[in-house]
Amino acid sequence: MNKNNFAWIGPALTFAGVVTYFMWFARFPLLRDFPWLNLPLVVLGVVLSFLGVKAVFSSKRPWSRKLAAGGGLVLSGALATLFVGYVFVLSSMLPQAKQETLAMATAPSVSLTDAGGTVVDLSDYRGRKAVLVFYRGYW
Amino acid sequence: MSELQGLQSRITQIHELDAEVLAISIDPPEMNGRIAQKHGLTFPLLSDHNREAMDRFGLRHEDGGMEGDDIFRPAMFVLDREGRVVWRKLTDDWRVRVRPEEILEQLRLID
Repeated sequence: MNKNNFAWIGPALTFAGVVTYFMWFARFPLLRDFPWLNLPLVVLGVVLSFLGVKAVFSSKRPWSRKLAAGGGLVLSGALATLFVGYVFVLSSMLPQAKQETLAMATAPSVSLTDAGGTVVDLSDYRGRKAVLVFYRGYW
Repeated sequence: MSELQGLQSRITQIHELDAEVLAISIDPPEMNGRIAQKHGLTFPLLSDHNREAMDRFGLRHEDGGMEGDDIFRPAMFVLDREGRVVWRKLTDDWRVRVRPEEILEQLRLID
């Protein structure tokens, strides 16, 4: 295989590694909690980009090809940096949980509106066990 | 969202343990109706549009966002029949969600 092709395969692989992580992560907790699949893809993409640039620069290619290969490497590296930064730094940048939340013994009574527009109180559900999920909506 | 789909996939087992899932966000009720339908969620999606619940549970972090905005921390609580908190998980990584197996395990521990 012509190593010059690495110059475009590499960035494409990095791009695919990042995109498929966000498209898949919700479905497979194992691949989401640590990107076992996507991190190697992203890193391999950068390595191939680098090898591609080396190959293009050492062969007699027009300067436009060299520029494109260099651009691909920069893009691939930037994407990989963003991905690693998000996964290992940004995503855990949450403030410390509040003491009141950590120490709360009983769920407070609080009124909420169900999807039908009816106002309910959290305490209405007592008598059965409950799983409260405070989730990030679409806002 | 993904945590809701995870719990929906185990909803029969959760109901068998005499428990209900109550999902709370600050989305308006109309949106919750659409979301429930779209994702086939059969448990109640409750709207906390005035952020009262978030505040009572201490999940609002003033100036917690990167632009000095308030952020609302995702969290899960397992309550017994009297509303006592028997288990809680306060998110410390946006990407990592509680797995439904962990919730089932906790529900089994309650009478």
